[in-house]
This record gives sequence, structure tokens and C-alpha cells, in this order.
Amino acid sequence: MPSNMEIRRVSATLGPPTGVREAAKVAKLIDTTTCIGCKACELACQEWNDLRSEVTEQLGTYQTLPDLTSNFWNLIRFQDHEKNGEFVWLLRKDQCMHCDDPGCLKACPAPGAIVQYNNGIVDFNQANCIGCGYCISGCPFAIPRISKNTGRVYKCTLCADRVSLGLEPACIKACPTGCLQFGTKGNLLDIAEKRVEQLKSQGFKTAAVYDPPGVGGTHVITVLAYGDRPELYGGLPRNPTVPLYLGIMKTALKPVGNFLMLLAVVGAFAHFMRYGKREDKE
Amino acid sequence: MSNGEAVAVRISGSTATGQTEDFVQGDLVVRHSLAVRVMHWWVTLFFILAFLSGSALFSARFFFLTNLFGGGYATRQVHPWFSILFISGFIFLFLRWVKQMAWAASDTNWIGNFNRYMRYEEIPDTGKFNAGQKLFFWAASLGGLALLLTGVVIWFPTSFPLWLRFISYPLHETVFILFAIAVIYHFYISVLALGGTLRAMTRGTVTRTWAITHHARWYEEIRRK
Repeated sequence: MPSNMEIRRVSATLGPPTGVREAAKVAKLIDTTTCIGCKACELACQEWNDLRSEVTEQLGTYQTLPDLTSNFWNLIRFQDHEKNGEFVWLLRKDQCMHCDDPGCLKACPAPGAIVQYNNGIVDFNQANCIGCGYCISGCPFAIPRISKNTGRVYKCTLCADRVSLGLEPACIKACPTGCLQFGTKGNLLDIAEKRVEQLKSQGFKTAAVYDPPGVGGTHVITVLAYGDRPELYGGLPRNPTVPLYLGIMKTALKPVGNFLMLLAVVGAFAHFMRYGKREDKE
Repeated sequence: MSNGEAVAVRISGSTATGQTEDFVQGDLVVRHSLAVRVMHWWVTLFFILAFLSGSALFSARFFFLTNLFGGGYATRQVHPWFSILFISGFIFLFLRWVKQMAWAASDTNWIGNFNRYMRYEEIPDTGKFNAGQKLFFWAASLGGLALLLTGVVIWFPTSFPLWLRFISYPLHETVFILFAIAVIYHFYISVLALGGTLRAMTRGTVTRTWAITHHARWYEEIRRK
């Protein structure tokens, strides 16, 4: 966790977060239509973050692993698709989407275990993580993974350590086709929209930018040729939202619960002051 | 009961006929057997531990309580085990008391007089357990079951479907709040408000006066035996 980036949101902490300076909102653009499935980004991620993945199993696909793991944060999903009787691959880079309104952070009961920097990156601080797994349930994209070795959760950091020094994430650096780009979110949305127009003119009528509003938009935005069916891309959710129960718990249950428990103690005290202790005389 | 028998009871904790509670012993009435008392303190201990460790994870305001258990990670690890130990003791008490906790017509009358009861004006006629104790028993039983079922889901989140987790988190917290309020009342009324009650759980005995005042029908029943 880089210490030179200011904090916009922090888990389970009373009082306002500490960031005072404005920062440009960053984003990663994934253009699934120009991805060739070379997996250079996977390797770059493993190298930069010094992760060693488990041994994989052959599932009759080119996909590196069946799923993300606690030490494999960036997986190109290879989805078979049939178009006009022809076989095509739908490739998607599966990783933390860095939601602007992160469900994981909202769910986390451990102070400072999940932070969102002013530039929008959502990061885990394993030193503060208690291994409860609440973030796993709170994440609309099912991203965080608990490590069997440490009992703490891990996921893509958007290379916060590199970004904090003015470098682009490792995966961006490795991408040979330019389907991965890094920059400010505004710029990348412009580029993505232009690409979508291009795709539409090429016959992909439903092409769209995936930047779901249910999580406040994401800092990883994706260009999809079949934008009306994101679920085709290895189960990308159509309308991801911050789970409703988190709002109920945060804004209602916890404060109301604390108040009611306090009220019970005050009530008992008031009763004692008024009626005292009952003694039954012989 | 003869004097000799009373001495025997004091030593062994049971009468010649093997009774461990619900009998008159000199000026005192044996209300709870040694086994019941030990198990009640067992559930008291593990309720407090589960309550404190759970509170730490419930609200950022109480996260400091994790220091009691060796930090956040350790607190998350021990909380479910406190609960399992609590439940194990609770099962004993449940089986022991469940028949006596059946609702009777007089219990409805007791509830109707609850305000007068709390003002120390009147104590309606009751058997061994009054309606308030019965309500607490059933609330704790159902609440304990709900906490256990939702707690297992929260304990092993990746082993259960998402919709079940979405229900379990808020349900666990809601029952926790209600349980905590019920226990605050239970503690207040038995330890602080009603004199002579606590000893039923420490020595196991209560005075005759206490028995006649608080549980008249219970006292009548065991006196006639």
C-alpha cells in the first residue's frame, strides 16, 4: 500500500477520511475487441507483483486458470461464441473493477483494511485485514480471494504502487496490441466511445462501453462488441449494484442497534433510580 | 425432610430420592441443581465472550474490543468458537427446561400485569418459571438458533450461495441486537432489581420468603411433596 496517495474512503473508520487534495480520477481501458489473448498482461501482473500461481488444470481451453485466485489477480477469460455459424472467442480481462462506490469497502468491518485513494483506486491493506470474507460477499463482481496461507484477502491493486510513482500498471506496459490503456477516466471514456462508434459502423450494432452506474461507475472500463449481453463475456453482470443489505446494515441496523442497546441500559438505570432494589422481608 | 437428610443434601447436592432441585431444605428452597448452575455460568461466560467479540465486528465504534482477543484476525477466528461453546451449554439448559417452559393460561395473566410487576406492586401467581422467564427462554432459543444458522453461513462465506449470505448478514445483526437487549433486561432484573434472585444461580438456593413471593405455586407444589 503506497503511503503517498491520499485516501478518499476507508473501511470501518469513524470520522472523515484523510485526503485533502484533489486527484485526477484514473482508469484502465480494456478493449475486448482488440485483445488477442496473448496473456502478456497475466505474466506482467505475476512478475510485477511477484506472485507464483498454483499449478493449473487442463479444462480444454486456452484459459490459464479456471478462476482468479489469491495470487492470480488478472485472468483472461476465453469464452466460446458462435457468430453466423462461425466460432469466435470472446476475450475478457477479469480483475478487480475498482468500483467508484466499492461494495467491498462498505462491507469491511476492519478499520483501514480497504481504502479508496483520491484517484479512485481501491486497495486492500492485508496488515489490517481480519480475514472475515465480508468483502467477498459485498463485491458485485466476485473478485476478492482469501489466501489459504495467510487467511487474508487479495486482489488487483491497479498497481497502486506503480501509479503512485507516475508509472502505468504492469499489464498496460505489457499489452502488445494497445487494447489496454491507462489514463484519466475522462480521456479514456472519450477513446472508448470513439471505439464503440467504430464498432457500430463495422456491424456490431450493440457495442457499448461497460461502466456500470449501479456501482458508481468503475475505474476499469471495458469496450464490449456485444454490449447488450455482458454476461456472454464469462459472466460479467448486466446490472451490478452495491448489495442492498450493505446499505440496510450501514445506515439502519448499526446505528439503530447501537441506540437500542444504549436505550436498554439507560432504561434499566432509570428503573433502578426510580424503584431501586426489591427486597422481600421475612 | 429430616435433619439428617438435610445434612446429606448439603454434602451430595441431592436428596435420598435423587432429587437435585425443587425441594425445601430447612429455611431454604433448592431452586437450581449444581449441574444447572454450572451450565448456566458456562453459557454466561461464552455469551459474554461471543457478545464482546461480535460487538467488535458489528460496529467500528466497538472495534477496539478486538484488543481483548489479540487483534482483529484473532477475534474473527475465536468468535464462532465462543458461539459453539455457548450453544453447547444452551442445549443442555434447553433440554432440561423445555417442558417447564410450556405456555399456560396464568402466563397470559402475568403478562397482563407486567407493568404492576415492574412497579413492585404485584407478583401474579406463577409456577417455577414466570411468563417473563418463559419468554426469555424461547427468545433465547429461537435467537440462538437463528444466530447459529446465519453464523455458519458467515463463518464459511464461500461455501454458501450469495442470496443466503445476503440474508444472513443483516439477520445475524438484527438477532444480535434483540438478543443483547433481552440479556440486558435478564441481567438487570435478576442481579440488580430483584433482591434474593442471584443466589439461585450461585448457591442454588433461595429463601422461603423469596419462593413464596416470586413463585407461589412452585413453592406450594414442592412443599406438598
